[in-house]
Amino acid sequence: MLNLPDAYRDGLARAIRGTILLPVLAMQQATADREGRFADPARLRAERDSLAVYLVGQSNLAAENLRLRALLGLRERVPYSFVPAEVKRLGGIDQRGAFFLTAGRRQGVQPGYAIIAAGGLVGQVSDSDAGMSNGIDWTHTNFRASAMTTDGESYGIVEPRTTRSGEQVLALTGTAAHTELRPGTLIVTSGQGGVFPRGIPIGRVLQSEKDEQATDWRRSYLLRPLVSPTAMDYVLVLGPLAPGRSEADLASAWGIRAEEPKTAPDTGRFAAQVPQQALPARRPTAAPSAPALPQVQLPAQSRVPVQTQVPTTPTPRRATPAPATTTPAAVRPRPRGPRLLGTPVQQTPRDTTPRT
Amino acid sequence: MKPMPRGAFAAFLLVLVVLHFVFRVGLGLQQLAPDLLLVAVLIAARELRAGWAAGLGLLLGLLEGSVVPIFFGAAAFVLSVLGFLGARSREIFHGESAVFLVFYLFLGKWLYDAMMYGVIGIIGRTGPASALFLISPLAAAYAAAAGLVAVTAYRALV
Repeated sequence: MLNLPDAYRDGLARAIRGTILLPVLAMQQATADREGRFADPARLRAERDSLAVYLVGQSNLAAENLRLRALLGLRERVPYSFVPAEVKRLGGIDQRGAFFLTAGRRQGVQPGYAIIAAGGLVGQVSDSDAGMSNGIDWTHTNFRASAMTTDGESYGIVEPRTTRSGEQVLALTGTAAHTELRPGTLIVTSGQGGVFPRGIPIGRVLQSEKDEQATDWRRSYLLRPLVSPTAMDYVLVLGPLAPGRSEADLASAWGIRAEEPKTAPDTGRFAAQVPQQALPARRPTAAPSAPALPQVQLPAQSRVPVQTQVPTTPTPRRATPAPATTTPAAVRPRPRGPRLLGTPVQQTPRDTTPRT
Repeated sequence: MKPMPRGAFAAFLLVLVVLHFVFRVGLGLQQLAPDLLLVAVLIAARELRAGWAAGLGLLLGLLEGSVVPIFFGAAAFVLSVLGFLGARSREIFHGESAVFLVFYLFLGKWLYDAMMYGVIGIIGRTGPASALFLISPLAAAYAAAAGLVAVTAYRALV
């Protein structure tokens, strides 16, 4: 039973939930609705204020983004669709890190979707029924996320850890040994692998981790997660991108700023070998954002020219399809003018497989 | 325990199972509600043959595991083992006193948590072992008290 393939296991569990346990789960939904109605007004006001601050910061960035896009003649980027949901936990020694979501397939929630909160990444949807879903948060052992630093120099895999004192933290593993991260460095999702969108804050570096499997070519760090398990009551489930749209970088939604990549162009040197004086200056901010939000730097990720985005006015199609460009993206001519905020790095061909 | 009427006993177990899911899942009380599912298996194991008790544990474990299917099957396995052991315990321990019942349920619940910790650890889940010595005894005492109340009420009614 423990070694059943996921498909059979999930199917069997879904069948039981959809038949025998259906009344209980319906009762759970009703209980969640009733709790929402009788929620503490002070707590709701606090949540509303937090969201207001968050939205104010986001609106500044969105306005700035729109202005820059207008300058470049690009269409407005359609954001990810999202579904608000409540987290319901069962507790128990076997259910730590797993929870219910009060939204399911009826609301568009599918397995594999990312779950976020105002602070950053929460977890992932593991299974979904008609009116509810199951998810895991970052404390669950099955949780993994491809992550990077905001300057784009270090990439790794984030996984949960429990310290000797029993504290639940995260670990960034597999980072390159030639770069060392300082405590407090912000770690965000990298978007690689197509599981989590790029730019969702995960945590800040606490300290270096003593990895038993560490070699001389990689490092591991302990991270302080930005979303506490106690702050996972109300979350957003990120849906898919709109058809035909490019992968969006969510860093700007958290007030994370973009900057030029810390690599010396056309020198063939590694980023770590670039002296600090050679790093490009930070991009000036056009509008002040909310002071409570983090203001950190992201690479502009400008190896892909902005012409690859969808233009505002559709160009007439040729009678015969244009041959595939033989110019690699990395050597295409760069566009002039300001760069977009949060454009994803697309050094590799886009993965067109659906996110599951 | 003295033999109980089959129909009434089955209804008693069914009530325990329904209350377990109503309290823990339906009303969202989580661990504020006692583990009545385990109480049902342990009490049934004192009345049933070992095979039937293990089968009942398997069935109820599947129900429990389907709620959060990340480790689907772990609860079924552990409840089966506990059902078997509970039935076998009749050969060693006799008695139907309240003290014995409380001790039996307390030990059963703590064993359940310990076995779940071991099984889940084998398949990849890690967690603080201190929970076994801090939280599990409290949960076991809670389950034992709830089981004592349930059995007392049942005996008063039947």
